[in-house]
Amino acid sequence: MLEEKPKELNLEDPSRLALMTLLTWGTRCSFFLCLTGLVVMTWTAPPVSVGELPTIGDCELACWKTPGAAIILAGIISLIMVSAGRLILTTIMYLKAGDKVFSLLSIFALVLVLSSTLFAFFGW
Amino acid sequence: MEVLLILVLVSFAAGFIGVLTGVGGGIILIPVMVGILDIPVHLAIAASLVSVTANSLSGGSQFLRTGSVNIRLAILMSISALIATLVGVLLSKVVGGRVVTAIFALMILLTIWVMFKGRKDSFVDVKDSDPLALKLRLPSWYIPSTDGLKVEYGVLKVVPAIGIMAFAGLSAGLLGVGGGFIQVPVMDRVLKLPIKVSTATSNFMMGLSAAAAALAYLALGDLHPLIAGPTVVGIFLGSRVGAGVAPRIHSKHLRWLFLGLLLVMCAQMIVKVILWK
Repeated sequence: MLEEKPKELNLEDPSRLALMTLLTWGTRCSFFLCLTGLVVMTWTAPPVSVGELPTIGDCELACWKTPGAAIILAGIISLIMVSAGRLILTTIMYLKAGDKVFSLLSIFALVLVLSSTLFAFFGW
Repeated sequence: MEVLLILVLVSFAAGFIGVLTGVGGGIILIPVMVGILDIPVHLAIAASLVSVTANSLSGGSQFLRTGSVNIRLAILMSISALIATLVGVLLSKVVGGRVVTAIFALMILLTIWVMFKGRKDSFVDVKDSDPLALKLRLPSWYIPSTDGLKVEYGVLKVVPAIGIMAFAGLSAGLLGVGGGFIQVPVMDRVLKLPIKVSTATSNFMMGLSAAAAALAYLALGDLHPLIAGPTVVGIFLGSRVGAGVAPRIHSKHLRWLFLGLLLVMCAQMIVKVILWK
């Protein structure tokens, strides 16, 4: 068995700090977008009763034309992009450290996340 | 609008209880949305995935600060989880709502079992690590408490763990949950990581699987703004309040209450499957 000391974890690494900043501010931004969309929806959109919930999905693309929906969509997409954005930062982090294996794995994971958009060919 | 308020309150409760009990919000949210509010299961799953992503990201910064996240391990495990997530989304559209609801009921039972078994913190020394773990430089250190002292830990059985992690990804895509109920026990008992590292690393991974699945459901047209919007807001607020209140609550009593609640929800899902129309 190899006697190898673990690679030193540098908590002050700029990429790691960028990751923390992305998480903190990215989630706050997403939350406020969703909250704003919700407020707009509450004030301006036609009311929906609990009894209409079972058929709520029937509107399809038209659901997103409801006032406030576009702002909520922006919040949700920013949330997903923040999550995927972590992989861009980890790619940079490992490239700077000279770790090609993990920078490639980060890119591959990012490709997998973004490839889920291909489901659009099965939907709408 | 009463519907928005109900959804915010339900999500708030899910986020609050989720933080206190260590179980994800999706396990509470989806049974309530499907069983009580009668929201179509795929819309509930899509909304839950967005909330799991939000929850994962909001706690992520703190975990990074203490070095609790083993990022290398998270990325490595995420590859199999992400592939399985995409398969899970595809499966959920193929098998239909009734089968998904039935599988969800079984998953609640599994969660109850995992919670019953509990956890004990035991981890391996760096020098006892798996050869592959050493080659990939997976062993690391973290700071478990406020005294700032670093504790080193090793990593065992990497290959079996990669395989099992695929089930966590599958649960995210198929059922709309984070998969933490699989990830944390695997990291704890197979990889032999410290509990805090298991939780933090699972949190990092969960955000990726949930984001991929949420994007897939958005592309499929199953993400509804009226349901997803209030869910994100409610979960975010609930988990923040829960995290603040947690130190003052005896989690043991809450755990038993929550287990009872899970049993009721499981029964509700089973009734829904039987009476499916």
